[in-house]
Amino acid sequence: MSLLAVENLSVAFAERRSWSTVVDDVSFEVAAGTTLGLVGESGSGKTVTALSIMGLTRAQGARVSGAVRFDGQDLAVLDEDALADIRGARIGMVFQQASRTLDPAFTVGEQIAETVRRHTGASRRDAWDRAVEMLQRVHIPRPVERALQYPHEFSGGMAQRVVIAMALSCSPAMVIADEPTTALDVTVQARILELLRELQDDTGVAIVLISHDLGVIAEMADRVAVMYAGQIVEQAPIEELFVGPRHPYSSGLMGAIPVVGQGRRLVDIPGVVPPPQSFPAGCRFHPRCPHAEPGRCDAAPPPLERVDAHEVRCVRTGELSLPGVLVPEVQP
Amino acid sequence: MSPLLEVDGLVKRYPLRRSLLGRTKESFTAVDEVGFRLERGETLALVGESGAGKSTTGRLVLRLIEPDAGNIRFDGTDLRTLPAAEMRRMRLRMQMVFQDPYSSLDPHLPVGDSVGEPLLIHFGTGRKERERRSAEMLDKVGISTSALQRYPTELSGGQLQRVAIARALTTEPAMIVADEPVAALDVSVRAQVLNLMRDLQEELGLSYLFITHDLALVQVIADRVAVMQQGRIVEEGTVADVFAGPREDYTKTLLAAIPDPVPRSMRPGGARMRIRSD
Repeated sequence: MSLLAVENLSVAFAERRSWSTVVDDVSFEVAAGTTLGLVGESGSGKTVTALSIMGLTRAQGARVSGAVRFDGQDLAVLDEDALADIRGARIGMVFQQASRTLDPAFTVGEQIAETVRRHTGASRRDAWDRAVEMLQRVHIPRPVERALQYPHEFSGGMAQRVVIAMALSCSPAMVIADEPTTALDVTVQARILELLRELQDDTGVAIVLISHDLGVIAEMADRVAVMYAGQIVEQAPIEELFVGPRHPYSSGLMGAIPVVGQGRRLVDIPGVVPPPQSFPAGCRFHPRCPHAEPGRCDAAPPPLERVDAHEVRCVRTGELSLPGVLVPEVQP
Repeated sequence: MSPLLEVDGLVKRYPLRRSLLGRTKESFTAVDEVGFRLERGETLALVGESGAGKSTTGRLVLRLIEPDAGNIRFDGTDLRTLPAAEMRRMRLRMQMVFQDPYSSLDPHLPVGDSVGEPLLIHFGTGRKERERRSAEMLDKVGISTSALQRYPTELSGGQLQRVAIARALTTEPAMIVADEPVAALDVSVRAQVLNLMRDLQEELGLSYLFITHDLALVQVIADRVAVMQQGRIVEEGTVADVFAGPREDYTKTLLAAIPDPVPRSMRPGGARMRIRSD
C-alpha cells in the first residue's frame, strides 16, 4: 500500500463573483521510500497541490474536495490542530527560499530544537542535542558552533541544509520539497540533491519533489506526474516518461532542457499557461500544442486514460510518436 | 577589424574597514585583473558561482560602477577617460538586461511607454514616433501591439523579459550585457527567450556578454566562455573546447554540477540510449 494517496483532489479559490478551480481532480500515489516528481510550469497548480496535501490551502479560504490518505488517515477531514501535529512531525516541508522558512530572530539550533520539542515532547537538552545531530547529518561543518548562529550567518546553500535538517528532525515518513534548489547556484544545487538522496537512502523517507526542471527530476524521481493548468496530463515511471512521453506537453518540456554535448537550438513551447479564469475548452494545452487538431482537441475535455502504470490526457496520443530526452539506440 | 569590446586588467575593490580619516585599511577585491575580448556578432558567456564577480564585471564594462584600474575599449573608444555626457551617449550602443524584469520596468508605466522611454531621454523623440518604434520593437520580440497599454503586473515573467529586451533594442545597441536574463524563468519560457536572443543576434548582428551561473545554457547561447572564480577569469576558450576538455578543476566542477537529464536508473550500465538531438 502506498504511503500517500491523493484522490480526486480539487482546490478552488474565491474570485470576485465565482470560484476559480486551480487544482482539478488530481490523483497520485507515493510509495514509502520513493520520490514522486511533480513537474510543470508556473501556474500549473503544483504548489497548490502540495500545500493542499498538508491542509494549508483550507486555512487560506480555499474550497478543497477529494481525499488525501496519508499513512492510513484521511488528512482532508482532519481539523487544524490534528494537521498541525502531522506537519513537521510526519510530513516535513522544504520550500524554495530558506529565508522565508527560518526566523531571523532565533538561532538555527533553537528553531530545530523547537520543532523537535513541539512534536516529540523531548526535554530542552535532548531537543538541542537532536538539533546539533541533524546539522551534522546534513553535513554542516562545526555543527556545535553553527547551531548557535542566526540564519543570516548562513549562505543560501547552507541555509537550505538547515531547512532540510529541520524538515527531517522528527523522522518524518515523507518530505514535500517545493523547488528546493531553484534559488541556488548549480554547484550548490548538485550538492543539495545529493544530500536529499543520501538522507532518503539512510532513512527511507518518501519525497514529493516539485520542480519545473526535468534535469532536477531526472536526478531524483522514481515516478513523475506532469501537471498543466491544474490537471495531471501525464503520469508514469520516470524511465517510461523520459524515453516515450505520450503527452505533447511532456515532450515539449523535455525539448526545452539544454543538454551537455549539444549546442542545438532548444525546442520551445510557444505561449504561456493560461490563468484559471480562461482555461480553453477541450484540452487545456491545445492552443500551445503543435499536434492540436481542430474539432478534436478543442471540443470535449480529454479524460485521463491509464494503461498499466502510465496515465495520459490526450485524445491524439495513440497517433503520435513523441520524442523524450532519450531515444532507444538503433542496433546496426 | 578590432574587437567590439576589449577589456584589460579590470579591477574593482570594495572597502571593508576604514580608518578614522576615511582611508581604506582593508578591502575586498571583487574583480581582479579581468581581461577579455568580445567580437562583433559574438556571444561571450561569463560563468561562475554567486560572488565570483560576474555581475560586477558586467556593470564595470558599462561604467555603471567605476573601476579602480584597467582599460575598457568599446568600438575603438577608451571608455575610462570618456566624459560623463559622452559616456551617456555611448550607452545608447551598449545596453543591459537584468535577471528580474519586474524590478527593471516601471510598474506605473504602460510597457509601451517603457520601451519608448530611452528615445525620449536621449533624443527627445515625440510621442507618435516613440509609439511607432515601441510597437516595432515589441513586434520584434514577439509581443503583440495590444500589449502596449498594459502594465508590467499584467504580463508574465517571460513576456516582461521580452519587453526588457525590446527596451534595450530601442536605441539600436551593438552590445547587450545580459545578467542572468533567464534565471528566473520556467524551463519552457527560458527556451523561448534564449531562442529569441539568438534570432535577434542573427538579424541585428548584436554582441552579447551573457552572464550566468548555469553552464548548461552556455552551449545554447554562446560562442566563447570565460569562467570566473573569486574575481578572476580562470579559464577561457571556445565553448566547444571548454566543454570537451576543461583544463581547470573549477571548470570541471561546474560542468559536473549540470543536472543530467538521463534518469539515474538509466545511466551507463542500463539500456542503450542516446540523447535526443532533434
